[in-house]
Amino acid sequence: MKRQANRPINVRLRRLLVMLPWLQERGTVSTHEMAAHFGVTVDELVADLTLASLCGVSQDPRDLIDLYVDGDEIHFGLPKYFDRPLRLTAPEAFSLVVSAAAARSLPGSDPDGALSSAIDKIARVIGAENVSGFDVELEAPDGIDELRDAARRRAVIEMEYWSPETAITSARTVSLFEVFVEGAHWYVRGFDLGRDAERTFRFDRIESWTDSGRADSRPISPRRAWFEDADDVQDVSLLIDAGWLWVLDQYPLIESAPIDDGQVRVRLVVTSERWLERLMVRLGPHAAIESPDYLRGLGADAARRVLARYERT
Amino acid sequence: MHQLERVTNLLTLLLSARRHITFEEIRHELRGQYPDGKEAARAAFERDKAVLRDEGVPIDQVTLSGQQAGQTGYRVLRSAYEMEDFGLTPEETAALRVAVGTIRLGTNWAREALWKVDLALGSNESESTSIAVELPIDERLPLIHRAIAERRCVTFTYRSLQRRLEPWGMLARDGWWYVIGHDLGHGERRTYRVDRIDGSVKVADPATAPMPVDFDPRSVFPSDPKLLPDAIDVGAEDALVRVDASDASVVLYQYGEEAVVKRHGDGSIDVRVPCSNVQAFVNWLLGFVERAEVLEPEPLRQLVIDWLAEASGAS
Repeated sequence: MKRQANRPINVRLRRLLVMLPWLQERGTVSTHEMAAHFGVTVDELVADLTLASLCGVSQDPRDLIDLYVDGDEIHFGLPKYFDRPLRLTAPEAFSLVVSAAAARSLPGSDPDGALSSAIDKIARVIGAENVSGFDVELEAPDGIDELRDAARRRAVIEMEYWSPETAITSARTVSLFEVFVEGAHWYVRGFDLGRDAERTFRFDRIESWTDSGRADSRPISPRRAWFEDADDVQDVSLLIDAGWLWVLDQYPLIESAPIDDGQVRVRLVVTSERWLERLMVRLGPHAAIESPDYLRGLGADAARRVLARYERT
Repeated sequence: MHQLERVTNLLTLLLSARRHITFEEIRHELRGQYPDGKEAARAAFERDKAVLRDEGVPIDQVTLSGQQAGQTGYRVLRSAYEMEDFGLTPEETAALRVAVGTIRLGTNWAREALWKVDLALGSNESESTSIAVELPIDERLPLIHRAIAERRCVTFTYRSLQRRLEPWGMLARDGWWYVIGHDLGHGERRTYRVDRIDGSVKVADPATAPMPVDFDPRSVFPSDPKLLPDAIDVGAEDALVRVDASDASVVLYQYGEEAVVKRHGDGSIDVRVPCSNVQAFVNWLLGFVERAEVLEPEPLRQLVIDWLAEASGAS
């Protein structure tokens, strides 16, 4: 249970300055509830609050922050110093307003609803110029809200899904977790009942879907990093001309380090050779596979195959 | 003594002070907490101040007169320190909570903001929203945003060159953040992708050039990168592409039935696709590997053939 980590002093201070007024608001609260709310362990919470109870303008007990931890409960006494949290920092205010503005542009959000009035009220306090100056473009494709609604009621759906690796459409039965957008694409995450594993599907490759009428109650696992749920992954190392790194923009890289001659060594996770072929053909003469050995000729082979098509017509 | 304890004591002292107090007074009040030697104590005090300032604590600093003439006095004004009351209703706070759960910025800032906003109500459940947006941000974005709000320039390095930009606005598109503004080095409007900036962004002098009225960052961006002109001219704005039956549905999803020029008996289709930006077009086309082929214009077809020949090692 005990997490032995040297938590940086700034993080602990930041938490403390918001925890103290929060505690003052409540008087008595359980250590577990408070630790969960602020995303710390009970041990960390108790350590920081115990330290706070020894702080004040002097060591006179009347000057100390008035709180004590008693078993599973924390009691707050007289307010002295931290009645209110510290004012929002620029990153905090920006993040909050970006979140509100982005959520407002999602399908199903009421443009004149609570988010808009919240942004207006925040603007009145911190200034209109601090809630403007940016725009979040979220174009939701037609049909995404129906799928979102299905995920909300934890529906099991039947879908026809096209795979770019095989160019084949197959039937999948999926217990929905959530829909999400990352980069240029919308995705659906869920538990693939046929494959008995969590899977992520690209929305534009779902040719059709229907609600099976069944619902599922399995716990929704937090989203994992890309490819963590893939069966067969290969760690591939490429050498790329620095000017062509943009082709990799939308893919997660394990590492990327410049080497001599304007080249960059990049390591990435590859789940299928077809995917790697696509990447290598798009990079053309500007990249080469360094390892593993057996994949070195993959890009040139794929390029010859495409070229053969042009020679036929 | 742990530095956190000393910093917390220092903050209680600065918040409680009725006037600006000097380092010597602070050292006296917090006796036993700073090192004995004056220089070591001073260095520790500077570190403590830096911790507080980095967290956004507004330490007011003045040069005193009278008996303490020439000394620096410090104080934290409660009115500047304390979070304002936004006067949000429970519905508005709940909507913000859902928004923060839905928009994943990859940092904890929004959640920390919410703790402050949501002080009285508070819910320890993170909302399950069934919809999520991955929109990573980093510390450069709030800085650029501040520069826009304050109408100041920013300086940064981009593709190894030092840039000075008077930013007008930011746009998040396809998960990337762009900043658009007047580039002082180039004397014209420029767009930069924020995650490609090398290193940090600095907020500099006030901007001088007028900002366009009602500037809309979307208006300066074509929606399809294949529409952005580049340096290669193939003599046409559109290309004719044949796509195999296996991949036709993906292209139809992207370009719609109206792009279809011809349907073939084997299920393959000929479609018109923009190619003003040749590099973006070729990148898109080759994503199909051997399941698609550009038919026209001829210079573009030749360009693809040359590219493939080079990639296959035939050149």
